[in-house]
Amino acid sequence: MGDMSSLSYEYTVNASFAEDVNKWLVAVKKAALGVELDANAGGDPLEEARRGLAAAVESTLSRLEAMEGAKEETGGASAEVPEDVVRRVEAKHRSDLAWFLEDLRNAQSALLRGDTLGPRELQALDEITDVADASASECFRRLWRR
Amino acid sequence: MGYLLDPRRGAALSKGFDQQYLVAPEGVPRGIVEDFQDRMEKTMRQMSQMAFSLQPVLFKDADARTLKQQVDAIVGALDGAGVREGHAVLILPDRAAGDLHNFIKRKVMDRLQMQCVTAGNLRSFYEMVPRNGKAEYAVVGESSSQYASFIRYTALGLLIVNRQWPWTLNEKTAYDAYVGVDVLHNTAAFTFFYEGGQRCFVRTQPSKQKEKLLRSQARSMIYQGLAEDLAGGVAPPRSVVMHRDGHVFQSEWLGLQDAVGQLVQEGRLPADVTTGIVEIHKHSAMGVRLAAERQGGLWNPKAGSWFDISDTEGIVCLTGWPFRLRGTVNPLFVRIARGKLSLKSVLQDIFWMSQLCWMVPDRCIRLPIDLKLCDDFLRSSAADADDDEAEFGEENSEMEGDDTLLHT
Repeated sequence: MGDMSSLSYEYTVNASFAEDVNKWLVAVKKAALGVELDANAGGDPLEEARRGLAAAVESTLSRLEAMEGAKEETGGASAEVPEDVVRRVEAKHRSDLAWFLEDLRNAQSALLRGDTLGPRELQALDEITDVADASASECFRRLWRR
Repeated sequence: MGYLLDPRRGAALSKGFDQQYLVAPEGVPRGIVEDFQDRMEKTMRQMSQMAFSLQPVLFKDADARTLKQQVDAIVGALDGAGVREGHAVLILPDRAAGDLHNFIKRKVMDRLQMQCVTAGNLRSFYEMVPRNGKAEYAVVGESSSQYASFIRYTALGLLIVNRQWPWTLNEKTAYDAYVGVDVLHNTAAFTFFYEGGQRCFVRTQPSKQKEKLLRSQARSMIYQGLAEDLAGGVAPPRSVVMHRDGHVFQSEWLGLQDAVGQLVQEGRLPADVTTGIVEIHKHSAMGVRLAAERQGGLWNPKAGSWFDISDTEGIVCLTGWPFRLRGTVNPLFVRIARGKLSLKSVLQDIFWMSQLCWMVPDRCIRLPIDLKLCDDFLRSSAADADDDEAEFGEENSEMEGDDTLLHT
């Protein structure tokens, strides 16, 4: 792959991830506030959002734990989280990674059980979406400059 | 303390805070650390009336048993978090090695000055309570006022490591500039005190001699300190007096004269500047005590009472009534060792400078603040710490002394 197509692919992956996690998190937040969600063709949008977010969190967790050296990367994670997103999250939480991982674990199990997310868990998910946005924007700017 | 917490008053701080950290072991429950962080931030904001926040930095304490492992865990966490400079509260881990407090302060002194609390102390204020089906940590009811006091003193300690002084004297001291000097275990500490404490700077340097300063070192430290402070806006003092904790050496007097002489030559100090050295002895061989005669008996004298033994020697009580003390007041023995100074002014300045008891606002201290700051710094940073153990310590040496391991 040439430089341009490699960058283009990276942008597609980053932008698609940012769009997905944003959409899912908005759906989960709306549901928590009692706002009705737009019905999807043939599916429960809240359930889809929860599953999608849980998979993204699982994948992020697995990569961060592998970076921290606590566990080996499982490889079974179902969502593709861009490398740059994981790197940015790790850099941001280098000083309190243990607490951030704990929040992600709690968020993941709450999402899978269908429980309400607490403020810490929501903040952790917000940070992933913020970082995903920043990563996609940065990738776009690089692509645009070429 | 009430004035410091009063929103109409607060601490007399001159600048904002740089980056502040809360360095905590992962082994202390997060609920405790976060609640402590929240209380510290609120108290610091209340005292300083400025924005203030602590950034948590966690270190792994579970497998850190020896001094070396504990030092490595803390330094590794600071390095990993990219901590280059700032100030911090450090929560010392459970089973902290005996020397950890002194050693870690010294190890990171160049980039981070720290106020320490112990994990055990912190835990003792909390209990687990059920809340919404979960176990949470809450402050034990009966210890809440004690905990509030603990937080306030920790906050004061943090202000002091930040070199932010909570209050100043209403009037200037009789002599314009004081340089408090103390040397301990090859470390020299200097406190430069001006304008009733509005400007006060602590500087330190390794010393080749164990307890005294060479002429060249005294000259360079005093010259650099005064020059830096004059450049920073301190009004040129008409008098520079050294407070020496204990015995003064001739080399130190010559060093002071050299430094002041150079600044006079450079036109930065007036030609008629007065210099002198005052020895301050916490204990005196003479054993003289002061007492107040009241109601047919002898009572502790008022704080600030003094007595001139000669033109150059006297005693002054920095503790005493109205403070409650156990036993009799132990006055400071003061001697004008060099220079033509007025004993009364010297004693008065020492008493006034003891009123800047920044670390314990509702108590009194037994030293003027310039020497107290030197003393506190040297006690934590230059006190004995087993450097070899911290650099090369092996786990075996620690395990041999660990009862739990021997019995299992």
